[in-house]
Amino acid sequence: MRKGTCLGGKRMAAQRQCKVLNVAEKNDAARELSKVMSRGRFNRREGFSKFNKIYEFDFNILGKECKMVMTSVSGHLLSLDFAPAYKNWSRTLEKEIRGCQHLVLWTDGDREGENIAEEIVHVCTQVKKTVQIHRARFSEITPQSIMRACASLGRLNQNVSDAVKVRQEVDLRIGCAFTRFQTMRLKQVFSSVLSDQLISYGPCQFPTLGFVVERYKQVQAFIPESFHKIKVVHETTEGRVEFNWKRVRVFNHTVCLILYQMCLEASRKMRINAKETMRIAEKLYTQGFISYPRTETNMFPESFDLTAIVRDQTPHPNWGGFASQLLARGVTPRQGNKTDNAHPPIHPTKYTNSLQGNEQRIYEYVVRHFLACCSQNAEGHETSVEIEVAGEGFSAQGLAITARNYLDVFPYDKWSDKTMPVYQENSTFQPSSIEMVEGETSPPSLLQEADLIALMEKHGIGTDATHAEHIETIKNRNYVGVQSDGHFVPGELGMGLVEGYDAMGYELAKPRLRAELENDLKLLDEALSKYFGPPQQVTQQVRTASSTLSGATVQTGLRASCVPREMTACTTCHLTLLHDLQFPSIRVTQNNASSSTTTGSSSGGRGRRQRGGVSPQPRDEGKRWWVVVVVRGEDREDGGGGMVVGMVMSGEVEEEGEECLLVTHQLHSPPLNQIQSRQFHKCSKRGDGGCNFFLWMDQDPHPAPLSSSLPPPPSPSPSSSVHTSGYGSMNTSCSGSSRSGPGFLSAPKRGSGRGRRGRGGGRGTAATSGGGAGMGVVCNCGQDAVMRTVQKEGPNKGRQFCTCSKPREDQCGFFEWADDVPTSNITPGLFFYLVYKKNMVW
Amino acid sequence: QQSVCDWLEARKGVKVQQNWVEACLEWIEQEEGGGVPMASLREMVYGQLLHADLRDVVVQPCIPASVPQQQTTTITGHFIVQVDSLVDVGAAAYAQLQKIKGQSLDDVDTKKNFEPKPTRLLLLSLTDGVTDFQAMEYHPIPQLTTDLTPGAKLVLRGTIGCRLGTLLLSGDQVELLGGGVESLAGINRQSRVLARALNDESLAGEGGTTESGPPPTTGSSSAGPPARSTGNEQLQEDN
Repeated sequence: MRKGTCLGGKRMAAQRQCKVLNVAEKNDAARELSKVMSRGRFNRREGFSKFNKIYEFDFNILGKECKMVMTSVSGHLLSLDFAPAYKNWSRTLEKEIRGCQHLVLWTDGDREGENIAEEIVHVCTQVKKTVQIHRARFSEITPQSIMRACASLGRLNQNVSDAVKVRQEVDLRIGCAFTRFQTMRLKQVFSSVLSDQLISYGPCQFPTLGFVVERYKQVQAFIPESFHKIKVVHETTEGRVEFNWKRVRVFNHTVCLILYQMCLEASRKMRINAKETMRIAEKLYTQGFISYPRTETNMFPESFDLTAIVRDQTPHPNWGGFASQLLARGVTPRQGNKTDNAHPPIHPTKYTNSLQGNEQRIYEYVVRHFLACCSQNAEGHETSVEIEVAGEGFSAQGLAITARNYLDVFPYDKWSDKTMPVYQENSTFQPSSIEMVEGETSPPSLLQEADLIALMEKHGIGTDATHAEHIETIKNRNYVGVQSDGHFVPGELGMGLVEGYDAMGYELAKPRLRAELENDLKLLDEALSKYFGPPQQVTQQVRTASSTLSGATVQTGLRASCVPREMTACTTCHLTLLHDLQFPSIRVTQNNASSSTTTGSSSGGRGRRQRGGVSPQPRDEGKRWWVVVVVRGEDREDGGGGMVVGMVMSGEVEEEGEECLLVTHQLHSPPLNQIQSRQFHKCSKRGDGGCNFFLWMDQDPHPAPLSSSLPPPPSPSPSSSVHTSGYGSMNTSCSGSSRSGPGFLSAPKRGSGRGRRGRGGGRGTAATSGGGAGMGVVCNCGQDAVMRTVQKEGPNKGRQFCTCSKPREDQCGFFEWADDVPTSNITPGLFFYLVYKKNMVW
Repeated sequence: QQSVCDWLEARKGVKVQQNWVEACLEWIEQEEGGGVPMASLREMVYGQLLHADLRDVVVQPCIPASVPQQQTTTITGHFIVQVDSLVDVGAAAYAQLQKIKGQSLDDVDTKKNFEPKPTRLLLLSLTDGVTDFQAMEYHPIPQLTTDLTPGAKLVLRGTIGCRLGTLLLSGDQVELLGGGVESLAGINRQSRVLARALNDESLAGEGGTTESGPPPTTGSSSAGPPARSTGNEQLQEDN
């Protein structure tokens, strides 16, 4: 509407012809779809993004002739960080939708595609509310499939899209929280080694790391064993074939020796040695069956009547047929190069079918050889041959024959094409050698990238699009290294992390957790529609359950350190504090205040709750901390047994004095934008120096047990509701953004491996300076970032952003938009997920 | 009593110690009271035999004792033997042990591998009660698996080739009678057999180093199938 004239023109055009905006997931798809629908007759023009072209053509859809505009996006529109160039397609969409009455979504038919489609709708409807939305479902870009899609345009599947949102949100939360925890914790303990390194955690990158570590450990633990095997070799003038034993190998010498002996004996029985062969041949010669055998001549004299000799052999039951065919095709002898000028090449001189034993075998050989050399050449390709020696199977790979020709009659011959002779089925031969070879088992090889991707695929870690990214992340974090031969080895840090969590009993690096989540999401797709029906019902469920939950948590104190384990679980809400981690200042110590509230004051009704933001004492001078460990799995008596799926740690250390420390015990009850928290004071001294002071903040100073804070009122921006206490003298320009306060908890975006949000200590605005500013945004070099405003002409002019405070040359490249407000709202899907996994509570 | 002995020899091909049968019958009488018909009495004694260690029971070997010394020979007939342990020598013991422990290599074959899959080749440690033999699975014996109870009894029949003291068995020559020997259950547990093959008993996992027998059915008196203990007590008394 801003450019009235231009738009007016377009409208006029639109009235004349129906105009449809089509959006595919990638430019490739847009191009191919356009090609098919327009039969190659489309116009291409540029959009705002050079990666996403616009294709225009006319097409009959929705029952009328329409002007089609086909463009594309590049994955998720609302993902965390996109280089500005990519953002341009959303501007393309905004522009193109204006002239269109219909929007057809051609994103891929998977869950991700459904979600992207929803994002496209979101962008487009903001510009044009009246646009009609259609979802095209196709499995392949072929004319049939596309025509079918056009004829059956449907609606978006909200459930599927929600499931994706759930995953994005869960990923982000887990990733951010855990990265933050890990980084801060480990930096403190190993400050000299780790210095500025970010120690990220991601639900995909960690299992990926796990694969590398797992393989490495298996290689380390491997015990070699010796084995024996039998190798059969057949050497002929035309090549050497090595046959592999069907049993492959045997891990027992005696057993192998027995089988070997049997093979040797069997092969001895078969042999007709050269001397014997010649003796028999001489005999056949004297009987007039074959020509003189002691000759090396291989050239037939020109006068030689080959056809007559071939014809003689036609009555034979075994090769007579071949002889007849040969006559029909014509005799084409292969010309040799040797002659003694006394004898012709060996050939049959008389037909017989009454010989026995070895005489028969030799006569047969001579005949077959003769017929073969009069025949055409064979042609072939790769094959495998299996043989049996004394019942032991062996096999070899080589060439097979496509046109057998002479081979039909000459089973003895080997494929002359170097690699492998040809073996006739059921033929026998004398192996040149049979050996028993000793060997040793070797460990599995370390993983290469292809193996790693295959493993990720197998276990459902990440998607095609993100596999490489996850691998890149664990490389960048120095969790793994790549050897020059492409094999992955875990680094000390990666190894340490995986082993550390394993030792604690959390199999974070095992693919199971991730796979379960993916599986749950599938169930979610189905279950949502099956059990809950329309979204309104879901929302209702959300409300009911959320009030139930918050009711429960109000009465829940920290059942602190009652459990002599490394984990202390909150009985009701499943929050678990890890206190053996020696997390800075957080040693959850038993205290009368906490333990007595555990179940004692459990009669909480609505009246006992208080609105969020209790004790809004300004504590902007502190560094903040949270501790939230989410455990899912069985709720066992001993507080263990659950699976940590996410952990958020934060808290506040008061700088003035060392009297007490404020820790927030949070329960993220759904909907997610409402986070319940409870705060307590405790001594901030670390280790043994600390006293046992512990007090719920909302019990302070009087023991009147208004035990917890209520979820703050839902606010339009989910992010801003997190604050339950007045921590922030926040800079206003940041307060609405996702990163104000514990912003990393609430940004419902996709977790990026980059983890730039997880860095450093407190989060705050650039405006706050010094002394660990409450909510400092920290740049990559660990310093408080500064807020600036875009001065440059362009679409972003006037927008505020945070960047590194150092002079331009020294900047670390950190960049964040200040107004990068997440757009997602409450996610019914996510809630269902939580309910579905009853034991899992955020 | 004598008739039970004869029946075992005639029908099952085992010549057992008189006093073992005696003890067995005594025990059955205690358990069941008198008046058990002969047919079921025989079967009960036979049932006890399957759970006894043949070494404690058999008086006369059924397989020629010379077999272990001979290069090649064949034996023909009907032989009851006891499988003390068995192991698949067609696969690496390490890999098998990993599999038992649930730590198998998680792998995806990215390179097309044409190597044929190794076939199982069981190597059995047998005894006929007097002589110990080895036997190998020359042709597949689907009746047998690596989780066979140590001490289970087999019938071997037909003409069986022997080489280097090892019987070469095929499926059609083997009948699995079942049973087991309690004292072997621990020592010859599959994981320990494999660990022994790797020369490191500690790899067997839990209970690998101690003499942990099977669940506590010490079977001394009335409860359980006390066949073996009956035999043992008898033996001890004899000794």
